[in-house]
Amino acid sequence: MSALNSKGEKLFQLFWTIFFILITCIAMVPILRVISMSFSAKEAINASRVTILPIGFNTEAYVKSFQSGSFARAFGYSIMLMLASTVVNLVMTVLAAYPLSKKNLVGGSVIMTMFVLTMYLNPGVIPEYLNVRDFKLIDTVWALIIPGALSAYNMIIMCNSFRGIDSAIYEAAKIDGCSEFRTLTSVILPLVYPTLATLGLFYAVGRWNSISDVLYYINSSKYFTVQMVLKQFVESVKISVEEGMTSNLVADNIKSASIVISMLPMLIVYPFVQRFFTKGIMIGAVKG
Amino acid sequence: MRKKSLMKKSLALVLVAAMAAAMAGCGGKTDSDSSTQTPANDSSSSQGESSGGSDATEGTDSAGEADAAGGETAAAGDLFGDEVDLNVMVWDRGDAAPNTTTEDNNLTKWIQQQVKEQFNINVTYTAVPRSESDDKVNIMMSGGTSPDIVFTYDQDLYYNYANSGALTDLTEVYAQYGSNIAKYCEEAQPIGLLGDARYAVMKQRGTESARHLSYIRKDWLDELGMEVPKTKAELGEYLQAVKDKNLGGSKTIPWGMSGRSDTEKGYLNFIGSYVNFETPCDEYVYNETYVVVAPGAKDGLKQLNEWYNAGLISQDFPTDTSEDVLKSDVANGSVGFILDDVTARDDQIAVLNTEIGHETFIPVQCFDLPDGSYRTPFEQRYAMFVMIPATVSEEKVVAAMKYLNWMADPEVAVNIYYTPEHEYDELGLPIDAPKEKKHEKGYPGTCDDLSIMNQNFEWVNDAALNAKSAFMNQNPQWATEEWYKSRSDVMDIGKYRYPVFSYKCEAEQMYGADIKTRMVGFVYKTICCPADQFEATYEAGYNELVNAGLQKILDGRTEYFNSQG
Amino acid sequence: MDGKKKSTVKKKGVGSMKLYLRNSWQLYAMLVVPVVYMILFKYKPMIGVVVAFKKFNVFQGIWNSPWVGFAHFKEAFTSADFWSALKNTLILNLGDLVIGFPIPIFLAIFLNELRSSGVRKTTQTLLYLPNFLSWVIISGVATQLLSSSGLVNNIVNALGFNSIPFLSNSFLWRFVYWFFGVWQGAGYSLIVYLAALMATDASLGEAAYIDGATRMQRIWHVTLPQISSTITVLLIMQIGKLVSISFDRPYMMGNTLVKDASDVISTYVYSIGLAAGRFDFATAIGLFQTVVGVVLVLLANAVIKKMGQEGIV
Repeated sequence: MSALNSKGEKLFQLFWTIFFILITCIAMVPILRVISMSFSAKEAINASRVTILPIGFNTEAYVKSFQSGSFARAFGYSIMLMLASTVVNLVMTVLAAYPLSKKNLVGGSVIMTMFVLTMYLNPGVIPEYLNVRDFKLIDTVWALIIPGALSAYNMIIMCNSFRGIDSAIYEAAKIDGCSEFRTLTSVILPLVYPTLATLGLFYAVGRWNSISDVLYYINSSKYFTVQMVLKQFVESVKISVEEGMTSNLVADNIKSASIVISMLPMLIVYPFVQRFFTKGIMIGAVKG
Repeated sequence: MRKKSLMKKSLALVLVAAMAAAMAGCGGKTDSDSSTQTPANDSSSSQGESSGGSDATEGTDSAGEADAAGGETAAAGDLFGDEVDLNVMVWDRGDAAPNTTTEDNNLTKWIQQQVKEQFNINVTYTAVPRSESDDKVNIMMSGGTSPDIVFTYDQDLYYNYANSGALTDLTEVYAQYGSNIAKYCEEAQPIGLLGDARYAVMKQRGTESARHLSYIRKDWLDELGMEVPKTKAELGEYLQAVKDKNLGGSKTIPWGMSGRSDTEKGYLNFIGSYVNFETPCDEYVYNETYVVVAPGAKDGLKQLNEWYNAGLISQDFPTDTSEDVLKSDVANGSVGFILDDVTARDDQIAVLNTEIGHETFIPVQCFDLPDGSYRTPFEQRYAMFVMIPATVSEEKVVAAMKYLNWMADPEVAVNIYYTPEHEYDELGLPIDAPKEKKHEKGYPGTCDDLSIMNQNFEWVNDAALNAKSAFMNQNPQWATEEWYKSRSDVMDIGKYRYPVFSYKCEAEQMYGADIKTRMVGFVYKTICCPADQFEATYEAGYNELVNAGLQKILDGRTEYFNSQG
Repeated sequence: MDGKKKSTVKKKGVGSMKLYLRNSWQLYAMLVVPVVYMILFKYKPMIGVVVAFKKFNVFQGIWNSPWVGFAHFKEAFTSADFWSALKNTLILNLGDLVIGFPIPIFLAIFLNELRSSGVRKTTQTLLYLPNFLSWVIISGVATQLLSSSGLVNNIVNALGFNSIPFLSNSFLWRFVYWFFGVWQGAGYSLIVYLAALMATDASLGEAAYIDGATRMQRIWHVTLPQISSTITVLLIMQIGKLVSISFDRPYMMGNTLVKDASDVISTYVYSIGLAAGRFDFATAIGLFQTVVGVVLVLLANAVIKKMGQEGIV
């Protein structure tokens, strides 16, 4: 493959490398702005002078955010919630996707269609609330886990990933006398482990960023997530006008700091998940 | 504590027995009326059975002293009744102290203790995120799971609930137990009436304030050798001069505007000054919300359009929906004039003053009416609509009113607002401690959220005192005490309140919210269109508003006003 | 005779059924929980859409509110605002489809051609990050960059041109809307495609290379077909969402001057329905979107199957 080292190839590599670095830089602008705001001096923020780079330097915002009781508590709680709900999500997804990945399953395509249609159903906020209420889940952690326990979108990816596995492996398991359940847990799941990690990240991100279910289903502030607490910070300036209040305003840099802090777990987890990432969806993408 | 409350309880029981004997044979339910003068009769007849303890004691008290309203004269035990659980909504802003929550902290504990002791009410709280408060209340009301006391700033929401039977009629219970509210929050209460029935008690605001206020660069006026303008014509000359001399550098913006689509603060007072209300009916029909379509307003729009096209107003201001551009323009010293919420630009002016090293913007009133006088619309005196859902039991409604009435007492309100451990500054005002201090003592960051009735403290309208206090508390030092004083003086020029009624005609309920945002768009478009297209743009925009329901709303409002005689 | 025949058939049927169940009962057992969940939490609340045919009263609740038939639908379908909102929704969504849909594919293909895994990994990590930012923040950035006194126009001015009205001209604004849509969402699809690409059989590409195919030919004839199934799945799902649009993105990105382009169904529902507390009306529009979405997705699926590709279902 000496051709791969040709001059043309080198130029090609150089061009696209620069291209992607540029694209990435552009994509980072809003994030840089938030990070810069969180570190900038108050005066510069009040005057809306911060664009991409910080003006002045000040870490007070982070100190204050961490000191705020609600934030620290919500942070730990949100991580626990995220983990628990991701586990439930993955179990549900696998339970649905594995049988539906069998093309000869009687009734499978009907069930699959029903799952696909759930992506387009929109009963409205109040019927959903009443439903959760009817199951007595209001103001419990379960209200944040059960209603979103399964995403049809992710389930389809999972399903494709099962279908992508070489049929010889299924045959071998069958010959060994494995039941479907055994086959799934000890043969197939280890093979799609990367996909699981990938979907786990999607679910975790979804749970981490979701606000409306916390707003509607939770009445005790101890169950408020980081994003909910953050939103209260961020909105307080607009609201203070209505209330005729001028004091107790949260400066913009505290808000920005809170946003950065809320992104932290994802920034930390992401590189680890990424190792499985491409391989993970790979299996889902190759369809049988 | 426990012993004390037990004592009270037994005392109450004895009184019940006595009252029951005395009142035996008194009239039935039909006798009850809402008059404050006869609480004894009222209570015993309408509620004698369900919560005899409290009613009977109240009865004795009123009979004996006639005036329980004073609050101080009534001993605490008088309102002590059967044990009642009461769940109250509280706003959550994510600023509770470490290891506490919005519903459970040292301030709620203090309130719980007080209320338990005085009324035998067990208060608990439901946290409602502040920024989505109305959504959450709406959904809880729809699901029948709302707290016993809920509140909103939104008059439409209140009106909608009251009209669909979702709220308890508070007329009687207010007359009976609402003496403090009637006394200390009086100015705010009329809006809570719907016809003759009361469906909400109102929190009363503290310091009176104008809705919007304009500011002008005093240093530029001096540089131009101009006086502080007193009329719109003089303002026009100033704006033009600022532009001609480029006082703010190459990017000079004589009049800085922003483009939020949810508020009319940037132009309302100006356009309003072209409107001459011929009759009281006009004042009501066009009250603030509809003033840009009132007779005469078109001239104001035309003037703004001329100035915009002459480059005197921020170009493309409607795209500045986040106000970021305006903020940075003001702070960078390129703006010569602003009209905004009263304190909205303080932060930017502070930055500018600090950087330039002297005073820049001063408050100004130069929007003269056709007759040469001024009109500065003020905030209404009411804040939140505090409501009790229709699903709440009678017993709890009484408890809720006792609770609200208790915190309407200024002494209690101060204890909640400034925490029970508040200190006083050298002016004798309670200090609103910084968040960190409150957190140290386990109080929430915004204590006012628990005080849902009264902000009307005795000093709130002492302008001189407030100016002094504002001056002392500012950080950084950016304005003089005189500056703060002049702000309240300027606001007072032509102080005015639009008439309001607790009524929404059907058209306004249907189209009001939509029309309101459309009107902002209408104004922006007429200001920004090329001068030769002004007439056409105005016509088209106005017709669009009419088609969207504007005329129906105006007709509905007129009809209502006339029906009021 | 007849009876005997029947019973043999029956016996045979029962037999194969038994065999089938003996092999597959565990599969059905696995499906029980997800299916029960789907019915209870996805389909059951749909009963609540009856409120679309009622005049909703908070106090009476969904069931006891009075019926009004198709009044809400009539109101929407006879209103010019609804049709213009629908038109704008379709324009913005079609733009997302035409501009936003291919870009991640394009990025993924060329990123895949890169040999440095460092650049590959960093790029996909960083491009995924804008997913975490809300539209409030992104719209703030957009204003700072694109307003008449913003960064971009400063450059344009410095080059001696007049400011470009990105945010106040409806035509240009749509491109701003699409651009930031790509900005925010491309990272997610990029990962999906990139993964699909990693799985393609590299030997096919090499064979093509040896056969003397140019890079472009290779991409077009070898690489693209290999990820077509992933593209199809994502395409069908997006087509189903053509009449649905989020509230935040057009609302935050829009402003009064571009209302004729930024008023979409979600903002229409907000201003006519939700802001006025008209939950019934909002539900009626939601039902309309659901029905159209379901029809579209089934149609797209059928068309794609006709074309010989595999659909979602």
